[in-house]
Amino acid sequence: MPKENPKKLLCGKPDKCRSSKTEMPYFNSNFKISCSRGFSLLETLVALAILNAAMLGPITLAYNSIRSASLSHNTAIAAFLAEEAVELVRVKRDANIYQAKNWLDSLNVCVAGSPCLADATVDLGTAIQPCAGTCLVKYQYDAFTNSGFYQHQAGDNTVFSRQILVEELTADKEAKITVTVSWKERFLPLTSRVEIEEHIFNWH
Amino acid sequence: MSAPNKKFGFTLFEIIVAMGVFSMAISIILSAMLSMTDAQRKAITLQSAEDNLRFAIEALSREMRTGHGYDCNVTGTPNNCSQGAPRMAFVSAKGVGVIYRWNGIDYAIEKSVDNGITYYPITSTDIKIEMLRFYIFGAGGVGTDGVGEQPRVLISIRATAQDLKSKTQSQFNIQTTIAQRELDS
Repeated sequence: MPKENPKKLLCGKPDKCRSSKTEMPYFNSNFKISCSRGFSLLETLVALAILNAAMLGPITLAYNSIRSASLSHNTAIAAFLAEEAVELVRVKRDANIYQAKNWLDSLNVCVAGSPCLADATVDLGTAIQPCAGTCLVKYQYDAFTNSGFYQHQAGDNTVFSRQILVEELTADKEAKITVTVSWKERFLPLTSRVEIEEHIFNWH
Repeated sequence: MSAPNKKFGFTLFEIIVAMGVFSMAISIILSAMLSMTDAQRKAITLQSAEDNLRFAIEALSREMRTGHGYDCNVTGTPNNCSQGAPRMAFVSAKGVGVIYRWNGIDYAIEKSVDNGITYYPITSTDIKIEMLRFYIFGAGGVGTDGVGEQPRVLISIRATAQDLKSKTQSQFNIQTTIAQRELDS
């Protein structure tokens, strides 16, 4: 068989490659890899890329759904905690008016740079006070009485921290409360947060 | 060259190796798919259970906020309850006596509007309420420290969302406080 045969370049007949023991088309000088059996690097890469594309879709889907389940779980808890702080500020305002104090007594210290914590488990007199540091929320569960509290004194650290800011918009009339509950979600790079803004008025 | 050699095909050995590799790959992919489906089902169950609980608390707290006469017995007279109780009675904005309670047999939150004769659940069976406690402060307009304040209720809930098929479950603790809107003193 002449070496210039163009058919050899295409490797159109594999049996020719197998049967020819003398010509060694594998090492043909015109076309070095013309008849080599197996996959080329390019073919392998293409195959892997297709496999990847097929697998990546479902995996991303599952990953996203697990992540959003965790996010919604924490958001639900955080929303209730934020609501609790707003209610406590409201009760504190009412108590201040009942007791003929300044309507924002011990609330007007909750300014930017020195946010407050709210502890619903203690007497109202000490429930709202500036928190040192991060305003981290703790959780303590008592198996004996089957009761558990989110508070700031004892128990295990939770992922949540809760800050209250009070800004008096109009003196003796209106104030803006901002409660932020923030936490670090395991699979998300940024800090997640629930923020509630409420305006309270001096009804006295 | 003998005739069978010229036929193009696979040897038995090749087939066995190929099938081995194929079945290994398939079993790996299948187990990955199965665990993904499992995780997916868990996520869906959790979300629907949490939706259910969230709605129940939302409905309950709205009714309490607009009501008055917070009491953790069922007598309907304002009562401080700093130790907590698994039930709470109050008078709704419509003037109807409402009782919410924890059912420790069915692990559900229940409501009664006929002074405790009949109760019906407001949470689904997908979610197991392991603990529900109401703590009342400032009932009747006087705080535990003896000074005037509005009544407030601390609600503490521990619940488990469960998926019976995959036997996966997730526990969560919810706490919120509700203040009575109507002025007491």
